Amino acid sequence: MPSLKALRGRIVSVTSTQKITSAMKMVAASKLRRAQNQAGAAKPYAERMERMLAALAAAASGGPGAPKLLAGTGNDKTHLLVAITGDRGLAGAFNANIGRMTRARVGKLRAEGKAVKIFAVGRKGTDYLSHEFPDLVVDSVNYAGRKSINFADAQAIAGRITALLEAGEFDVCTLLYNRFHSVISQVPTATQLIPAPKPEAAAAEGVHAIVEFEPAEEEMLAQLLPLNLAVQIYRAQLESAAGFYGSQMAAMDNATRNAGDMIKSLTLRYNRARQANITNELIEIISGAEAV
Amino acid sequence: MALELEIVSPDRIVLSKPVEMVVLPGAEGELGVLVDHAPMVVMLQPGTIRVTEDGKVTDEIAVDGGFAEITGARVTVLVSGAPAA
Repeated sequence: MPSLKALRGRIVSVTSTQKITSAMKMVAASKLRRAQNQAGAAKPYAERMERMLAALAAAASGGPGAPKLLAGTGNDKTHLLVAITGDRGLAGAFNANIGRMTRARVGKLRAEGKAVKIFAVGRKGTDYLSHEFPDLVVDSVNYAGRKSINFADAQAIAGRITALLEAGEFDVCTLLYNRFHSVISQVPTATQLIPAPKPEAAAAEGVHAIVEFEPAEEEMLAQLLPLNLAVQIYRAQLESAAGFYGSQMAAMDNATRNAGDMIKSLTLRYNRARQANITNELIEIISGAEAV
Repeated sequence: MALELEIVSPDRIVLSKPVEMVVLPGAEGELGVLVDHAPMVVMLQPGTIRVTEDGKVTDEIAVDGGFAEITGARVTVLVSGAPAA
């Protein structure tokens, strides 16, 4: 049985932990709102980019000199996995989910006899993956200490990926990130970036058959494709950021509740111990008095 | 019938309204777009987009390049950065 003093100390310590977790929950909630707004604001651009690209790809498809970003290298030997995680922890299984997913993919691709390379985005993922697969991580980037990411960051990543592609470092590029499903649920998702998946029945608008291009399709694709890559990465990063704060909020909510339960049970034990002490003292006094 | 103009950057919708005419800084020269323009996709060079309503220039927006999709009733401009006019 711990002493009264020890119990009191534990109650104080759990109470201050609870204060911290509930403050973190509030902070995560407000950051979540900001991240959601940013993700929402980026959506129109991505949607229109998709529409424009679909029109272009339909017009330029079949050409023998199709750009690598669209058609890939024609091989399927080396896979590049771009894993997007958060820069901080204390967000439940958020980062671990991406780590686990990446590990499973690496195992599967290796079993098929393919080479794997990893581009880690986010500090947590970089730490985990460079420990787990030290010889696979070819590049990494993190935004620790930054308030929010912007489009230029995504463009920088896209630029590095394009450079790797041009150097023939990989054939297929897949993006792994937490898709923001709702505040309490983030779904680890894999999206293939290169070669770009065929746009599904994009020409539904019909009119697009006779679109003019200025300059010609090929030249325009060469400009548009890197931009599109950046847009897709940007969208994934924003969703991941929103998901991170959602996950952190849920984790901190749980921690606050657990701390509350713990304080309750510690207080109960403390009061019982105190009562037992008093009873003991009374018994001593009474039996002393009776003995006289 | 008016032309629906939309200017979108990665961070926000910069402008969205019906206009009479828009002049775009195309990579191969400026072009003015009126309603019922032939469908086309144009690459832009750094310059200004001029928006005309009722015969007067109402907005001038500086862009650092981008793409414009033109259909008969709509012009969608994707820019990577557009400061407020």
